Amino acid sequence: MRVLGSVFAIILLSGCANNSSETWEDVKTAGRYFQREVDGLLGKDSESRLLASDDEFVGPYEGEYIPLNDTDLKNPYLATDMAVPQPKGIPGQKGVPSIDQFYSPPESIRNLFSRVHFDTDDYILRDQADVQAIVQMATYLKKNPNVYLVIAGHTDERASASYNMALGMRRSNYVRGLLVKNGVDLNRVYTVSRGKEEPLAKGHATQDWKENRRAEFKIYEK
Amino acid sequence: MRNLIFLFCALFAEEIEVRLKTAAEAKPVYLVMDHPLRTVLEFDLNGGGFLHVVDRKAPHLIQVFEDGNMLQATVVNPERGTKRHFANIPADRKGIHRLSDLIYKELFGIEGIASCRLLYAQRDSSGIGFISEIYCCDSDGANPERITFDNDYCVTPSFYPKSEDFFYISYKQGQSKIFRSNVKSKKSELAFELRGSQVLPSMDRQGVQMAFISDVAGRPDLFVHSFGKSRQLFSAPRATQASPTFSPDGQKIAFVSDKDGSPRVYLMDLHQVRKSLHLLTKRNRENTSPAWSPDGKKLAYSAKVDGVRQIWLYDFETEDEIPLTSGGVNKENPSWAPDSLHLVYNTENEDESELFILQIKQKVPIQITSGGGQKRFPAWEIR
Repeated sequence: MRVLGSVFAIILLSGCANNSSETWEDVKTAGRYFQREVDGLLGKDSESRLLASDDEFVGPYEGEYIPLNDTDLKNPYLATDMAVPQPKGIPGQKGVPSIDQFYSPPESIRNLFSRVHFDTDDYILRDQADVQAIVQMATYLKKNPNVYLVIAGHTDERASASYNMALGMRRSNYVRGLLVKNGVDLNRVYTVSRGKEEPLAKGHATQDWKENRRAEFKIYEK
Repeated sequence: MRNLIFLFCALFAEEIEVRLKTAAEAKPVYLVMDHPLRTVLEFDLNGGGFLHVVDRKAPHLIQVFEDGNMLQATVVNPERGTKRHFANIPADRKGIHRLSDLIYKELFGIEGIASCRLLYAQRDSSGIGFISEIYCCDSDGANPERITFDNDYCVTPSFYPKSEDFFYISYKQGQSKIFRSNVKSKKSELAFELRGSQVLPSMDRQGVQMAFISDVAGRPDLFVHSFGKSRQLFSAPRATQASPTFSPDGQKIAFVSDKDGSPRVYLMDLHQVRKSLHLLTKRNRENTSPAWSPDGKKLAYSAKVDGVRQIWLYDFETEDEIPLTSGGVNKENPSWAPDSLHLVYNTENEDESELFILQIKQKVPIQITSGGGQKRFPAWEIR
């Protein structure tokens, strides 16, 4: 099915005058879309209001919001789609640092908090080096329980500004889920989405877009 | 299987253009007015879409003259054989906009939109980054006034219905949150407490429910806030949700989700939240920023066609998807005027973003902003 998807994508894109790296990006994107569409057709995605299983479900604090109540349905995509509720502490209140107090990690540990990058329209970290970086970050955070983290999700410029705000949110929450899955206390990790509003690279070429599809990290040591 | 066949056909289909039925051509009107504000009145009358100002005698006649600090106007309606007098119109832009609306009411029985205000976010460079604040301006883009002073990043403003209050997203607390403020007092406060980030808020026309996207539950999900409580409405595995918009009766929401691959616009009935969503946009692969018309009959949205985002229209009655714009510049964030006939949207052309007005039957975009700063996320006043 994946091969068929890629072949189909190549046919779709054969008329485009892209360079080879753009074409490969487009092929991968089209392949993922095709896979999701086929999954939808085959009913793998038939129930669209799924929450994490009871084991993973933390739930709203103090009745903060009314959740969807499909807890009887298991989420088969838990590995890549953990839904981790926000930390209990509100930034700027009761000893929790406000977001503007977070700072770039100092030189001595900066390599542990390097940016990670995403494929076009994707929120999962595909580069094994990035995944490993998150695992190492998690190790540091577990050893240093007085360190808070804020993850900012960013996108490239190509989709609309409004959709990119939500996609940036998706990316930062995915990375947070990965850290929590690796044992980090969910109450010390916050997320922000900047959508396409804060590009690192200001150009309009493939390399610029790649650089902008990222998650960035700031810390606060109590 | 139907999707696969559609995909094959889409590869080879030719461009099919579906047009809205056009109204009768705009009626020529002879405007007799020797005053510096004549250009303002001309713009409003022409922009309404039902009149076309000419410099020769025509059956429709408007005479405006100054009397002290006020304007006196006479409007001849040949169809009803009437001559209506409007007295003591203030000789300023606001007065002219009001006069244009009175003329439209007199001649066509419709509420003009010249007096309506617009909100938008303007982004400017600041050191190494950007700041973005909310502005209010007239319907022709004149008199821009800054109305937020967060000195941070503010986007996606919207008026509360029939109110001087407005809501918007601000990053001044670090995470994006929904704030409420007022055009006159400019005092802003948090609209409601909710952990995490909130983006893309939208209110129903009754001023009761606010829909938005939040990651309070760990994903960018659709929520609605009403009577002091937030309720999670939609979540989907591996999906990103965005840009909700209410039907005029507040009973349905259209919103963006990429749950089936690429971003598309879906419809949810708020009385049947557990039922499947209904897919609206089928023609184009990438569809975002939908806006429901006040008359409930159409949805405006931005769809990517040949690599460029254009403004499209979805007709609920015919289920047709109709392109409204063309050209090489990206266009997004359409917002409806109260007459359900005009849209405002912003372009995005590398570092330039400007606001354009579009009457959906004539489909002639009119630029209303220029100069420094990127103007985005326009929103019309709600009446």
